[in-house]
Amino acid sequence: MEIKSKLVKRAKKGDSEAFQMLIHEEKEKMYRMAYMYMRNEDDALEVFQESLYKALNSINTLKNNDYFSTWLMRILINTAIATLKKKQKLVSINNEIFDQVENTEHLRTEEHLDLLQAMEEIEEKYKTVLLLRFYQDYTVKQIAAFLDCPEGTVKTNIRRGLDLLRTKLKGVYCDDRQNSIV
Amino acid sequence: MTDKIPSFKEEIDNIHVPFDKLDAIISKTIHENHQRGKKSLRMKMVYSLSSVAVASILFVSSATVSPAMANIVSKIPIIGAVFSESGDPGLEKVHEQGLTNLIGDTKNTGGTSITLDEVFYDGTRFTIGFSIISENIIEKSYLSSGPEIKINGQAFSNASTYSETKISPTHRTGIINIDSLDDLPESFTLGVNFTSVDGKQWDYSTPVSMKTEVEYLTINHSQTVEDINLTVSDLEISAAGLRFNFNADTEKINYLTNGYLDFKVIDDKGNELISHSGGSQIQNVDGKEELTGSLLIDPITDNAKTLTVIPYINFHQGGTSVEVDLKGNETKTNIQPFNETDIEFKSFTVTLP
Repeated sequence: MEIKSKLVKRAKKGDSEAFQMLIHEEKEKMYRMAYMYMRNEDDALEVFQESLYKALNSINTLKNNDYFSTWLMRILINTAIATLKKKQKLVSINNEIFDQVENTEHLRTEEHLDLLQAMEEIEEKYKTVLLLRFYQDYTVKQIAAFLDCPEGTVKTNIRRGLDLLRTKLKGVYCDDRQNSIV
Repeated sequence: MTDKIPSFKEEIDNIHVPFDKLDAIISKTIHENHQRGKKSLRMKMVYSLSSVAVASILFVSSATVSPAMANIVSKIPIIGAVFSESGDPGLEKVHEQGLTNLIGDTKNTGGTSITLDEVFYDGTRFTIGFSIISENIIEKSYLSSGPEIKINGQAFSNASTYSETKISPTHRTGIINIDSLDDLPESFTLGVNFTSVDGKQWDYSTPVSMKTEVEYLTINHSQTVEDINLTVSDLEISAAGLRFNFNADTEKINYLTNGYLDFKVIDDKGNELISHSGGSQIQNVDGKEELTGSLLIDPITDNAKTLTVIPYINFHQGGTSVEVDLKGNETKTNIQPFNETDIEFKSFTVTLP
């Protein structure tokens, strides 16, 4: 953490090499998070690039160097959501498309198809808390701070998100996860 | 933790990652930003090295632009759109309040039109906005290092900083901030000359008058940290922003010249007011480095009553210095990083009128 903090400090002073090292450490997770929102490579790369650009131009506003990863992830998620809205591709996928996807996803495993597709269908606010909780391993408290909302709202959204997933996945995943909200 | 949750992670981790494309994006984005940064660094180095010239500490604004703005501006050259869509709270505010000089003077040379869009000038800020539209793709260095400025027909050598925003491949906007307002009369004729890399020229001349809605607040806060004596003397308050005037001195030679003094300012609502530009001059007097300068930050919002100010000095990480003589000749010198720990002064509070 100390090395990372020093890199952040250098990056804030304009050291592009330090910034590059920091990004290389985060790029894989950044891309996968972007992909979870955008659901295609081109758009995920666009979100990745725009997030990178914003981070590079605003890193001197980062108050606590230890929160670089969180700060970067917030930029990425906000950028992904804004890009989705821009492209009018919010995850209200209609049944026709759903059927098409279902029919052409035969190369995926059944479980893989179910989860990624179900995630695509749920609202952004539920998707965000589920990704932060179960992919980024944030605690409820950390998610509340991240999203600047009460912990109770986070818990509610996680439960509702899980309920939605459960409905879509017919109970494959979600019952056990209810216990790990907090 | 259940065995299903690792499965959730595994499924996301199974998403193919195009590492080569990510690496290309990282390199390209950082390289392009670094190129922009050189322009900014160049101004900083003038600031730090020259004992007589005035220079700027400017954070070049982001070249990103909202799609909404791109749509609006790319269709019709709306006069005043450069300030109102700049993302700079001070410029947006003075535009809204009608405190700017709307110019809208468009000239076409060889298929490329430049519109001198809007000018703002008061005791705290002097900023010029323009747009450029071409039949061809406009490269980012098309206007080289920015325009030449004349005041009442005379070349104006005070430090300025220039930034561009790409709206579309054939449309850009630009903002010129004059960072030192010393010696400027209350009203004058502003001359602006753009020269492109292929030798085309665009010339403009327009009257500019100083806005008078500036309030002065005496601060006279002094403190000493790491043998650097800092005094923040006063604050100029206008719709365009807040300008702190300050001076500092130290017996540590090369100390002030190798760093840049900036302020972090937070209002009583928790909003951080971002600094945009500033100018300083440093002289060696009787074995001391003496600095006088000013710093422009965003205007206050939300009816803020107090400001918490935290001055700090960041020392440079190396780069290239450019000394400019009175004839405009440039001498470049490589500078080694200055290995000192950055300095943070004690915070103090300013009560606004």
